[in-house]
Order: sequence, then C-alpha cells, then structure tokens
Amino acid sequence: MNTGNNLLFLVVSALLAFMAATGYAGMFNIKGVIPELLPPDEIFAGTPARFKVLLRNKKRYLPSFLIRLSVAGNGETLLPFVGSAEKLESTLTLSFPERGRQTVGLISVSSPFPVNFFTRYWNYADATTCIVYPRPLPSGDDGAGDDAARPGSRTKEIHGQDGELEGIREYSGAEPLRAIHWKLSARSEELLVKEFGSRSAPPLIIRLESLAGTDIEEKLSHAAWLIKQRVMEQPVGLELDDRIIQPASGRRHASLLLTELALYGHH
Amino acid sequence: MVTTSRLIAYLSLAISLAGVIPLFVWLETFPRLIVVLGLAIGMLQELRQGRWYIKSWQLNLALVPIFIWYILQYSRSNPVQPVVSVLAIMLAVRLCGEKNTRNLLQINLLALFCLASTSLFDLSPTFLFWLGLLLLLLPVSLIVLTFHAQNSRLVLQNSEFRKILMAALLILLVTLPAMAVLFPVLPRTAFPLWHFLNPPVSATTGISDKVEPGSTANAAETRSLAFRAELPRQTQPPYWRVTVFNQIQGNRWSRNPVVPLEVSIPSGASVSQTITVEPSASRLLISLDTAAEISLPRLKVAPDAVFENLRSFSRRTSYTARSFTGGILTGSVPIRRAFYLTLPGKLSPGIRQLAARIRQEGRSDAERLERAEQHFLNGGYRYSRVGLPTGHDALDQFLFVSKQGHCEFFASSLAILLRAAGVPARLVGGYLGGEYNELGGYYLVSEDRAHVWVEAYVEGKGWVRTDPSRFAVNAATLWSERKKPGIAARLRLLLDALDYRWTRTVVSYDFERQAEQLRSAGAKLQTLEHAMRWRWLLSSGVILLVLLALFKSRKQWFCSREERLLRRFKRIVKHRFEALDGLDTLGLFEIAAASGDIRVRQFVDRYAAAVYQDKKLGPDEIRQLDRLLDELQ
Repeated sequence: MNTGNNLLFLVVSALLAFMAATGYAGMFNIKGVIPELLPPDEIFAGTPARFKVLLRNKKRYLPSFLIRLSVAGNGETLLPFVGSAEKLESTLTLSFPERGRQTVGLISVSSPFPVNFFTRYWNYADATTCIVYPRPLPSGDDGAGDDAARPGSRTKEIHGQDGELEGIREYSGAEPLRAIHWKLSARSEELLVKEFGSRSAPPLIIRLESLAGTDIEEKLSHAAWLIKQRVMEQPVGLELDDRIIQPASGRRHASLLLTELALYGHH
Repeated sequence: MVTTSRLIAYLSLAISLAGVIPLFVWLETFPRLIVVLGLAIGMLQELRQGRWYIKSWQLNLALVPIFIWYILQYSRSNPVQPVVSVLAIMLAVRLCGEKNTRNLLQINLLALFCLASTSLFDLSPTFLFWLGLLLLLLPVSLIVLTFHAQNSRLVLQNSEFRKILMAALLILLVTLPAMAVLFPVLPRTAFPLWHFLNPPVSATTGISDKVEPGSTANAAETRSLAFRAELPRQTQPPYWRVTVFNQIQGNRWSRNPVVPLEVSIPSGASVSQTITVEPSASRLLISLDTAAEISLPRLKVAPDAVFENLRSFSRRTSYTARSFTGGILTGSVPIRRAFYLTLPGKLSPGIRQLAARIRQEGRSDAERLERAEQHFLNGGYRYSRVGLPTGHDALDQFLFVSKQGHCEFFASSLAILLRAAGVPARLVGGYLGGEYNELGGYYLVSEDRAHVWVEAYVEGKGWVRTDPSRFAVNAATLWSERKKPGIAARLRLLLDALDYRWTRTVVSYDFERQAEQLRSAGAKLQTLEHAMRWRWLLSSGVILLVLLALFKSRKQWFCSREERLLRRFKRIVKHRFEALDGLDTLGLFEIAAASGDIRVRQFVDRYAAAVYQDKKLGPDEIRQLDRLLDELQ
C-alpha cells in the first residue's frame, strides 16, 4: 500500500503539469508575432539610428506579453503588451559600423513569459535593406573644391528676398506685394518697392580627391559631413572620379549625394 | 493602476497564507509564533510601502542557530516536526526580508513545500482546496514576477492586469487536466518510500476481542465512523462479518486462536465490495458476510473465515472483498463438534431445562435450531441498551426475568442454548446495517452498528447465520430503514461522499491499482466481442477521418473572406487555364497576364487594389468579385 505520499504525488503532478502548461503558453505567446522594420531617412555608419518597428500580433483572441525584439548584438526593445490582432509601434536603435547597402538580418522575437525560467525565441529573417551613409567627420577644409566665391561673400548680381535692403525702385508689377514700400509710396506718386540682395550662397562642388584624409573612407566621411552641413544652405554638387552631380539643395538632394557616397566603390 | 512590486508583495503574502494555514495546526508553539510574527511583519512592511527592511544577511544569520537546533532534534522517532518547523520558519523569515525577485520566488516555493508537508499529518480533502488556491495564485504571481524582473518600475493598468489574470487562468485551465492525467501515471512503488514519516495511529477503534453480557448495566454508543463499504444497496440490512468467538468461560465469549481445521466454502450469490477502513489498531478485516477472498497482499485466513491483516491499519485503507451471501458450506472434513459444544462450567437450571426441551423436541440440528429460534420469537424479548441485567446470572435474568437486553444477550444465550441442546454454535462479531449513501454508492457504518449474532452448524447445510436480536418484539423499529434524511443529514452524506471519493481516488491510489488499471484495460480489449470490436474499430475510424477532414479544412473554416476568395480564384484559374504552368509560384498579376482573360485581369486589379493596401474588402466588392468568378466558372 502506498501510504499518504499520494498527496505529494499530487503536488508533483501539479508542478509537472504547470511546467508543461507554461512551456506551451510561452510557445504560444511568441507565435504569430511578426515584426516589421522601417529604417529612418538617414543612417550614418557608426552612429546609432532609430528604426521604427511595427509589431503585429496575428493571434485573433490572445494577447502577447513581454515581447523582446533584438537584432544580434545590436539593439533591443521590450514591448510589455501586444493586444490580440494589434499592431504596435516601437523603436529599435541600431548602428552599423560600415557604410554601404546593409541588411538588418535576423531579428529575434523572444519572451521570458510566463515564468522567468526559460526564454522562448524565434528568429525572423528581415530582408529590409538600407543605405548606410559614411560616418560624417568634421572637415577643416570647409570650402574644398568650390569653384565659386567663398560662402558668405555676397553676389550683387543676384537679387532675392532674404538679403539686406539694397535700394528702392519703381514697382514694375512683377514684384510681390510685400516688397512695396508703403510709407514711401504714400509720399510719392508711384508705388515704390524695396530691393533686397540675395543671401543665397553660391553652389558648392565637393571634389572627393581634393578633400583631406589619408584614405578614401576618411575622404568620404569628410564629404558626408560637408553635405550634411551645407546642403540646406546652398546648392551642393559632387564630383566623383569622372562624374559630376550637379549642385542643388534640399533634403532630397542630400540623400541623393549621401547615397552616392555610401555606395562609392561598391558598384 | 498598481506597480508590479506592490502586486507581487501582496500575492506572496496571499500565497504564504495559503501554504501555511493548513500546516499551522500541526506546528509546535515556537514555529507557530515565528510564522505569526513573520506574517505580521510582512504585512506591516507592505503598509509602510516596503520600507525598513531587515538586511538579508541579518536574517540568514538568525536562521543558523535555529537550523542547528532542529538538526539536533531530528531523529528516527521524530522525523517530521523538525523538517516542517524549519520550512515554516524559513518562510516566515523570507516574509520579513527584502522582496526582491529571488526572495519572492523562494517564498512561493516554500509556501508550496509547507502545503506539501501538510500531507504528512493529514490526508483530508481540504488539501485539494489549498492546492487549488495555490495553483491559482502561483501563476499570477510568477507572471507578475516575470514582468517585474524585466522592468522593476512597471506600472500595470487595470486592463493589463486583467490580461495577466486571464493568462494565468488559461494556464491553470491547461494545468488541471494535465495534472489529472499525470497523477495516475506517475510511477509508484510497490512499497511506500516515505513510510518512516508516517505518524503513529492517532485513533484506535475496532470491535472488542470479547463478548461479555452482564458486565455493565448500560451499553455506550459511539457514532464514530468504523468503515465504508462500496457495493450496491442490499435489500436487507447487510451483516458485516469480522470475527468469531468460539469459546465461552463463565459469561465471557472469546476467540480461541487455535481454530479447529475445517474447510469453509461460502455459498450463494457473489457480491464484490470495496471496504475502506478508518485507522485502527485492530488487524481484523471487515467484509460482507461471508467473504471468500480479500485482496490484500499479506493476510492470515483462519478456517472459520476470519481474515486478519498482518499489519494494523495505520491509515485509512481500502481493499476489495468478494463475499457469498448464502452461508458457509463445509467441505469433506467434518467439523470438530465437541469444540463447538463446549459449555461454561456452571449452567443455570433454567437454561438446562430449556435446552433439554429443545433437544427433545427437535430430532436434527435444523429442527433444534428452529425450536430455539421459536423460543426467542415467541418469548416477548425486547431489545434494549439500558436497564441490562448484570452479574454472573445475567443470562438467566435475561432469558427468564427481565427479557430485555442487547445483541450480546440475545446471541450469547442462543449460542449457549444451542450448545446445550447439542447443536454446534459460535458467536460472530461484526456490524449490522449502515447508512447507505446513494451519492457515493456505499454503506457508511459507524461503531454503534457493532453487532453480535450466532452461527449454528446444521448437518448437511453447514454453518447457518441466525440473529436472535431480530426476534425481539421491537426489532422492526430498530432495524427498519430510516425515514428520508433531512437536509442536514443529506448535506452530511454529500460531504462524506466527497471525502470518500477523495480517499478512494487519491489517497489510497497505489502501485497495485496502477497495475490493475493497466491489466483491466488490456483485459477489456481482449474480451470485447468480435462484432463489438469491429463496430468499435469502424466508429473510431470514422471519427478519426472526420477529425482529419476538419483539420485539413480548418483554413477553409477559419480563414478570412479575402483568403477564401483567392483560394476560389486559384482553383478556377487552375481548372480553366490548364496550360498555365506553375500557378502556385506565379504572382497574381503574372497570372492575369499569362491568362490573357479580361475577367481574370479585372479580378486581379480589384482584388489587389484592396488587399495589397491592407484594406478589407467591402461587401459590395466581395459580391462583384464573386460575380466575376461565377462568370469565369
């Protein structure tokens, strides 16, 4: 006869059953949780970049708990709750050591839920590629290769709206209304307009070869820094080997130039 | 809104209570005090928002002398108390200390151990209640603890806490059936490994080893439970046979352990029953009159069908017995008549005369037995437990003067009369009747049902049971079935049925039952009738196929309308454009281009416009797409 230790058997079977149940719960918890990475506009090598992560729980009725997303040895983020059929947004800070076309690779979805004894995980192969720009390095040679006037020097020929007041002349009908000098016009018979100089600087052409730096990577880094610094202020062009990218300004142009630098030598 | 740290502190207090309350009554005074103190300090800490921690190392240091003390206390004769005391004290100490993740895990584990150790003292079904409570609280606590370990400053919203509760509940829902499956299959040993931990017998009941009418004026009644017997309801109050008193000295009947050899063959209808006896110092086994076999490993069976266990029942124990209700036939070996005809030295003249008359009137054992029974039936005897005759001539008084007494008087005087009249007779001790629990399907027999009757030897028939108490004028009111039980009694029966189920299914489950279940499963398969087996195989095959089909088509049933549309589309295209190769690998637009059909093109355009932009199709769009597919078909 078995005397009484059946209650201990009951406890043991409860513990075993609990282990099995938690194992199953842990597996189910990370099942159907799909991450999607959205890279930021600009990624510079060696600089942490904040990726947007969309985490989708495909389970229709059950939420997921304590989902940790990580990219091998890079960055990780923890989402305590992902509701059933919910799409959550989070950020993941990743950094890439090298420039060029890079893929994030494996994203691991893991969770210590429900009890912190084991961590269940699965790896999600992310095919998202992103262009990593060269690491920007401040360059002392700040006008390298420009074939126009130095930045800051004004050019009288160019009139604009943003420079200093340079003179008064008659209204021709083409000037914007806000250019009309109402006080003076009131005194005279005709409408008079203010004439401003333009502050827009002349275009800057960055010539890679003439930039400072011991190797090509350093030169690319200086070029990237220059583009970042200048492109919102003045048109910037780029001369690479035998190609010239015409100067222009703005964010779109900047990303075009930086992409050229990122992929330089990789084609 | 609540922080995880507060939540787990509360939970650990609740878990400690659930673990230690059932153990508390079994603890000695010192650990009890420590437990109360620990719980009080733990609660106070929570009220003070978890401040004024006593340092962990201080607590651990304080534990050392206590450990040493209890190690010294440990001995073979006292193995349990030191262990449970240390467990309870450790739990109390952990409650006073800092509530970090490790300590909280330890609290959970210690609480579970405390509950488990309760089973060394008590096997009542309340254990299940506490275990259930712990199984409910532990998952919640462990999950919150996991959250806490990830982020110690996490604040849970109510909705989030509800989700955690839900998850814990789901885990419990998986745990319970898995536990029910695991419990019977966990390997048992044929002999208890923990036997040395068994406490000594606490209650000792059992029927007396002698029958001596006239020793007291009033018979005491105790309502304590003697045993339960699981068997179908019997039409007559059943007789439960325990022992046989075969010799008389003065007024005292006792059992001569040297029973003359005879071959007992129980006859009549066979009844199987499961007897569950309460802890008792007695080794005699109870069974429905008369048992042919009892399934216990170590037994001694006397020639007069008295079964004796070689160990006393230190715990509630179950065994099965097979009995025959038609009396005992004796085999070819003649019984020793002289042994069963021995009379006490002094027999009153009244009894002698009565016996002589019976002997004269009856020619055979059967006739003499009938005459003797007639005497009791027509004598106007009353059954009574009070106002009993006492002294050495108590039987004489009973038979001829007071005519009232309890079963011992009836049985004893009948047996003596029979013996004096030349009919071999013996007294049988046991129980009569019992309260039938319809819910549990068993008789509940209490100690006050103890009874004595007579077995008379009739040549050609064997031993015949005769119960002179039944011939009392008031017998009908005493042994007739009671009226319908009231609500309180029914509730008591219900609780008793639960208690009994608990004992039968959990407490007394053992290696033999495990093996027996395996055997019976195998035997059932073998004995299934041939046709039955075919029917069974066929129906299970059909069920299997249906399940398989359901599983295969689960996507069909559980997928979205978009998926269903796409499926249908692919099926139709495959059917219609058989020339198209590798349809499964082609994209939708490629299929449209390859088919060259305008309707396919339209379908793909509309479908892709919605689905590829992560939009759901509206009912109108679905209708249009369905119509397109209808046309294609």
